[in-house]
Amino acid sequence: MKRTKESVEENLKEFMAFTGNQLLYAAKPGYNTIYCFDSGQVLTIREIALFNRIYFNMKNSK
Amino acid sequence: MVKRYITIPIEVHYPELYELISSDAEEDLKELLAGIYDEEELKKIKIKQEDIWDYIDIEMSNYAEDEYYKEIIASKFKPYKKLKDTKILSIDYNGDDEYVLTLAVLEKDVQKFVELYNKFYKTDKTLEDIFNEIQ
Repeated sequence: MKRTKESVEENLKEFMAFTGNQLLYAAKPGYNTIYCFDSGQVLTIREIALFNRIYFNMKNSK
Repeated sequence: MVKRYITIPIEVHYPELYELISSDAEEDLKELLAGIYDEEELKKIKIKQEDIWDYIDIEMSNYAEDEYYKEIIASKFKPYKKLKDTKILSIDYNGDDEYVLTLAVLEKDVQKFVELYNKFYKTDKTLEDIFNEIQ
C-alpha cells in the first residue's frame, strides 16, 4: 500500500491513542523518517503501522 | 575512465546476513512491544507469523541504513580488495527481502573481477553471464 501524508498522520494518531505516547519530533537522518516519542521510543512509520496492526488485532480478538 | 556497474544480491554475497537478522526477530519484537504497551494489554497480544515476517522485512530495510550492518557487509568484501579501484557504491534494500550490493568496476579490471567473482562465489560464469544478470 502506498503511503501518503494522510496515512502517515493516521498511523501516528492511532499509535498515540493506543499507547498514550506523545510525538516529540520527526527526523530524517537517512532514507527513513524516524519518529521520536516521549516514552523514548524511536520508530519508523512501518514499525508504527505494524504495532498498530498487532494492537488492533488484539483488541478485535475474543 | 569507463566503469561497469554490478549489483550482487546479498544472499549471494553474504548468505548468513538474513539468518543473523531473523534469528532473534520474534524476541526482539516481543521486547519492543513490551516497551510500548502495558502489561495487561501485552498478555492479550498474540504475535502471528505474518507479524514476524513483516517485522523482519522492516528491520532489514532499517539495517540497510545501519552503519554496523554496512560494516559487516563491507567486511565480507575482501575478495574484491585486490582491485583497488573497485568500490562499493551502495548497499540497498530492494523491498523484497533482499539487500543488494552495487559495485563499480573499472573496465580494465573487469576480467580480473570475473575471476575473483567465480573464485569467491564458487561459480563458473563468464563476463557476459555476470554483467547480463545485473541488467
